[in-house]
Amino acid sequence: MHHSVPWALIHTNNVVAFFTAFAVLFICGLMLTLLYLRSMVVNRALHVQERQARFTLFVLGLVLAEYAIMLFVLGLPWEPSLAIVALFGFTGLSGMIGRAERRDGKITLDERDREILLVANTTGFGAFWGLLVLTWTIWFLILGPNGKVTLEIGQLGYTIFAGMIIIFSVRAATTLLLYRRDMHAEAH
Amino acid sequence: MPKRTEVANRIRRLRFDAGEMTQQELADRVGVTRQTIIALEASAYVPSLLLAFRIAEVFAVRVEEVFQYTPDGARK
Repeated sequence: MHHSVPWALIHTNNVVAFFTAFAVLFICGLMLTLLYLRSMVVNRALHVQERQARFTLFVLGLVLAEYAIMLFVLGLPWEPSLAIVALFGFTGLSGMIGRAERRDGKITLDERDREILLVANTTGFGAFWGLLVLTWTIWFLILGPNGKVTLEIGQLGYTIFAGMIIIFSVRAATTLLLYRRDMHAEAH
Repeated sequence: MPKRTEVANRIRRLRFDAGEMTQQELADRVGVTRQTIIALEASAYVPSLLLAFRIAEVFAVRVEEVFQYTPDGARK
């Protein structure tokens, strides 16, 4: 292991220390995630999709914050520290939000919600596709049509995972923006 | 400020005339969420044809008496 950044407050050069720090951060992150999930499950003031979007963005913020801590505070190497992104998988628990309302027979997804979801999904996939094309374009301009880039299989996996995070995050942000727009419409 | 749709409506007026029906009551009767009724009344959302007919049926009026086409987006 080596220092990831020279300006880190603490420099950790020990595998045991890495796993200990990772385990502590992961468990703390998981607890915060579950606490926020619970708050979103019981909070019926907001629409179900809004709550799910907020939960997704909360987990994203938490993952980014913990990754920053691992890199810039603990001085852990950047590649193994990427494992903290596994926390993002817990956004799958967002399906629990709204279950109680559905069980009570409440409508949680109507035609307007489906329309918003469609726009949000399209925006999410569009953002990922745009970024992919932009990345390719940049490499094309730098290396030309016959240029070659060596990519490890693991790094290719990062691309796919990054894509998933982009899609989910942009979708969540778009969902919140669209619902907020309608709220402002009511005020006017 | 969000763009107003080209379809204005009298849902709020009709609700009050129907014994001060609440938004939630109307939402339950037509099968949507209260937030959708709020967006409808603010002309921030254009309903599907089916939803428009359901709303008209609740108030026992024609669809044209609930929704009006306003090409300039102006309220009537």
